[in-house]
Amino acid sequence: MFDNINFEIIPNTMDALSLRQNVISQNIANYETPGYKRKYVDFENELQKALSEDSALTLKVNRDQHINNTLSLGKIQPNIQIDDSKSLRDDGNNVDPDVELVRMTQNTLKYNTLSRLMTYAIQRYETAIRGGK
Amino acid sequence: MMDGLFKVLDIAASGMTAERFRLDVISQNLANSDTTRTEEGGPYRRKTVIFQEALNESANGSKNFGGVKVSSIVEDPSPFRLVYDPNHPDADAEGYVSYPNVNVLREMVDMMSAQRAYEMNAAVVNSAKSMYNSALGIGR
Amino acid sequence: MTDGINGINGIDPNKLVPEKTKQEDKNLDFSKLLKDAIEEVNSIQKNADKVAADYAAGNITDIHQVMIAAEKASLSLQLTTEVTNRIVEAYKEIMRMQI
Repeated sequence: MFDNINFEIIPNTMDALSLRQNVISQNIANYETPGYKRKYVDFENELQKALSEDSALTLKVNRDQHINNTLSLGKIQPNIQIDDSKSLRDDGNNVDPDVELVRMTQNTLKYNTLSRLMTYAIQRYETAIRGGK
Repeated sequence: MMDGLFKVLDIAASGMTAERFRLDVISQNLANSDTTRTEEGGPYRRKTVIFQEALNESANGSKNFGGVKVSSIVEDPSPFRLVYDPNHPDADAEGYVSYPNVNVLREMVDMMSAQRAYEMNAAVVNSAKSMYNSALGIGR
Repeated sequence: MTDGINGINGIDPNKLVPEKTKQEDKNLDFSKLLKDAIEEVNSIQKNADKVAADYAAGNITDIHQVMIAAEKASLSLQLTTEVTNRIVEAYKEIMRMQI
């Protein structure tokens, strides 16, 4: 039952977003640290690639293939990268606090939405289990 | 990975601590902007804080993020303000008094930026709380 | 009235529609109804899953798209569950009537 896309992709993505929140927080805390270069998390590209290669998400379903592919979709690793771009400040620090704050808001929103979607999926299972009673 | 969100709180807390410390130093500068006599002799010299990224050696990946720490407090080497006032008790042989190299306007600007940085870290705490609460609500 | 009845003695059993056939028609209708309903709701679920995955991957940025798909899936499942329950009960009712 838990090979469903929702129980693999959504928790995996939420892990990545939680990591991203850490990284953004580190950037903001080091806004005035001389020489500090901002970090970011790479995740969506990997997931996009895996999704476009996965035929389970097209509406034609092949049962066996479905199970194999979705299990690997839940294992995408996020990774932390350093943004080396030049800074406009003379202390070498390239953190732009406005950008970091906006990213943080987007990240929070996405995390909250995904947890809402997870809830929907769980409730659908509950409906099916109860048989509508 | 719930500890991921707790880590965010630690990191933001370190940012707030560092900025609070910086505010203390700025406040010290402002309070002593006219101090011509210190314990070491001579006028007060402006101080600034140097920040450093805090990393814990224990683990790798993001687990070692520790936010930021104050690595040192340094004195500003720029020259003192000389004011001609031969009647002042601290006047030197030519009648000049050395005043601290504290520029009040500069300190005010620094203070606003410390305050802004402090508020940004507080915003991080709020966002982590929001995420945590919504994760707690999964399934309800 | 019906073709199989001509006067008092003229009942022609072959002309009357046998009940067995009626029973089979009802069977076909029910199973087709159920099958169609299940397929429809299944495709709505799949769409909701796909939209959620696209959102996670950053392909979709509009939250309303995602939420509407999820809500549709939830509602259609509840509706279908309720409808299939009723269909099954109606079927059972009719089955009881045969005896």
